[in-house]
Amino acid sequence: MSDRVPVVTGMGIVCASGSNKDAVWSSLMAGIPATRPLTILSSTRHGDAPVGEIREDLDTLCGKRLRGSRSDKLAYAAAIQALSQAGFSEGTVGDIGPRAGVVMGCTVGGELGTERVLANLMQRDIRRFGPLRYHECASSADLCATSFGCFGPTTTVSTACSGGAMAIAVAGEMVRDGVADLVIAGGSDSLCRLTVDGFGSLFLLDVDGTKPFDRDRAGINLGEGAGIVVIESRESAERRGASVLAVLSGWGTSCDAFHATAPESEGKGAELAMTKALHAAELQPEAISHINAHGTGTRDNDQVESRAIKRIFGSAIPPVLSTKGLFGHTLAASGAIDAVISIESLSRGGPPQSVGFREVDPEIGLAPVQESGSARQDHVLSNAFGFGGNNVSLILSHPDLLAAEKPVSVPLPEATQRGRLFVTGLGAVTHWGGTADALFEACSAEGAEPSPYDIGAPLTPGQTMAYHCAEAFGASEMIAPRRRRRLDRIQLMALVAAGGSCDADVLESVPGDRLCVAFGTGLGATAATAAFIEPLCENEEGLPSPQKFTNAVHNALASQVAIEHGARGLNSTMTHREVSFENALWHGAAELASGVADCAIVGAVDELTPYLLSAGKRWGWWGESSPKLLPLSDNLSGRQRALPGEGATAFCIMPEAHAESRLAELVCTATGRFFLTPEAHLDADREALWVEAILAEKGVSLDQIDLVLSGANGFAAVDDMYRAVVDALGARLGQSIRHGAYKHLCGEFQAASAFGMAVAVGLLTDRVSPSALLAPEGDCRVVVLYTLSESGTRAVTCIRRPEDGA
Amino acid sequence: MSTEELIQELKANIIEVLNLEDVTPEQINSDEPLFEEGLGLDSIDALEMVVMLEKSYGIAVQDIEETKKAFASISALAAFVAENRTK
Repeated sequence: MSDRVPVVTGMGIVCASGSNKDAVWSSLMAGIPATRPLTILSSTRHGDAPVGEIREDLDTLCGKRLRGSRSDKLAYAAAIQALSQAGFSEGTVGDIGPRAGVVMGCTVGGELGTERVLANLMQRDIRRFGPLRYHECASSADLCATSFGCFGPTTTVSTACSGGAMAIAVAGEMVRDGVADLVIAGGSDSLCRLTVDGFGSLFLLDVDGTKPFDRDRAGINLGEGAGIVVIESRESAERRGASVLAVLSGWGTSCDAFHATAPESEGKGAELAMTKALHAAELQPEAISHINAHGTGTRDNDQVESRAIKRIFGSAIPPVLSTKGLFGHTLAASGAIDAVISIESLSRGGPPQSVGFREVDPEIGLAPVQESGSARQDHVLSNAFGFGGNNVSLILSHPDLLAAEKPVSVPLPEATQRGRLFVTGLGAVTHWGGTADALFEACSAEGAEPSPYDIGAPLTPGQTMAYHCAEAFGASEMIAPRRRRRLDRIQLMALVAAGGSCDADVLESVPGDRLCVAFGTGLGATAATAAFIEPLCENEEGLPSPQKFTNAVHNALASQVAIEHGARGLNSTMTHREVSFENALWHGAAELASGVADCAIVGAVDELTPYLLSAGKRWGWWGESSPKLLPLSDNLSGRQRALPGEGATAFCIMPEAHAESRLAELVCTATGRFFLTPEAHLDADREALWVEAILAEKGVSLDQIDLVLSGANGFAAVDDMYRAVVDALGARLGQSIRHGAYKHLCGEFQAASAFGMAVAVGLLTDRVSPSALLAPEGDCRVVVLYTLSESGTRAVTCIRRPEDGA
Repeated sequence: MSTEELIQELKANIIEVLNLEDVTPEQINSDEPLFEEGLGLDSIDALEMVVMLEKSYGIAVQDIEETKKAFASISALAAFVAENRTK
């Protein structure tokens, strides 16, 4: 098993201190802050604090002109360095491609470009919509995957400031579990108005320069950049003859389940993440050579992190480093940049110095590293904590330890035999209301009737037909007014769906630290983001609401679910277009399978907003003429368009030993990028082979499949791709396989595949008939959910009747 | 504007900006603490109140810790607003 130990074979870094590893290291050793006045943005309210801005030309750093956001280019620039060090000099991963994945952590994505579009819109200039194509956080991972020839799992983690570290933990999980042999992982974020004015509105920017752990610390300085590592299995590294730079020997994740932005004051969440990482690596605290702290320089973080460190390490606290004084807080990139610096310090004999610290805070009683030392480094503990109390700790170990007597252990000791996983509950918010029952009762082949949705100002006024959720979906009954008052509609949708998925008694039986939450969202809280940015774009005096900023992060959804249910285990937010849900499902299931959690609340949510409707209308995704959404229709003309929808769906998933009421067995879920034919169409034959192989791994053969439920949406080009794959599967089997659809019931939105899984569970529990899903009638015992995304990723999920797998 | 009128206006503003739909102005005791006990407000509410101070009274807050002292109660806030308002 130790062949699957995740090791690091390449790394890349771009930040204000330098645009490659050596430049950054020299700058860090010199101890000179690289934070300077903000120039990339004009007319921000809070632009007077210094920032770690990258002044170099990004196309030069990337070695070519790329289409993409600033965050995308930062990610690419760091990734090519990492690939080159890992021995892929041609700029692609070559033959290993089908087994190579990409996992990026990202918070703002293309927000910088979006803000420029928005400012133009406010001036009634609607010509330039282009940058919106790169708005999504998923864009960076897609750019890297397509550029480097990676066809394995490709996803994006958005857990605010811990995103990059979480991406590395996810990559470690993928390699350890054999989902991929190699994963390009890390984080990137560019500066933008949302974060500069957002943190400014929270009074968290220190205009005098950030001072981590100092008595007079007064906040962060923002930065931008990217950190990328190539993580691969030890076996893969050996086979390729690649040098191992470090071992990713452990990782731990947790959630404070406490507050939208403030950390829990005792640091129990931070402690749990660090303890889990130590446990996974089978290390005692004294084995840690130094700690690369999150150390942001805010009053709260540094105090809370110190408390947690003191409880774990007692009086023998190893040297503590904070890099934030050097190049600022790079948000989702920071955890990954810190991982790169941690790895570098393994070979350089110690961490660089912390900058900005002057005097010990008596309430903290801890001074960060003041000068770079020279001592053998065995293990570095690297922390990253985010809004919503999303905590991640990584342990990176010296490569010499691979040869040591006691090799780094993998998999986790608890993961002996978790057995099968079951869906034990289901909740849904749809245009029929806030319960799964309402959805099942309304399901029929006729589909649902869309209703007019006003687009309104500041965009072109007009209406679009859409499947939008009713105003009342049960939030006021389920969530107390004091909790509800600060939540946006998308969060309420997530909370109602999550609440419907889990039984109070079941939750009672699971300890909080073994309850995890994983949510997918394609676009996140777009309405809250727009509400924060609009006043700023409108005029220079605009005053945005700080609370909208705290709601704007994608992971506000999953962390609110965690607060509601006291879920202190993994808190994951995946944002990767149409397969966001499947990635969240995979992450929750992997956490259960590794033995560190007993229950996962897994779901997905997306909301309709005027911006989405306008952009989609402009790009021809939907038209005003469609009376209804008609997937899998025989006479689709090329002009037929989809209709937008929205909704939230959540599932409670538990392993065999804990699952009492069983609705369905979750057999498997897998994601990746599909292959293209020489004519650049989806290669349906190779797709069928992939689906067959994923199912075969779990002992399911093609003849057992009763129905393939696809994301067909009535858009001829999309339906043709799904049909081709289902036909190719039938061709391999030698008889046709039933093909059903669900988007005539919910409309088109990125989180819709979670709705698809809900109706699939409905099929297995006889609540929904195949004909309601446009498929021929007949028994359904094994259902395959198949989802394609516009950017070339896809997912397959298999569920079956609980009694069938025994 | 009398102190009493300002107090009433502040109560209404706070209920509106903090979306306290289950609270009426009469239920807010002018001398009770607004944070933790009393209304049970938190740090994000304080920031929303800072925005309210700038929007409604033209008070641009520079030091949040100093301003938080003015949030001790509605009476304290009314005194702060009366002294610092520019509109």
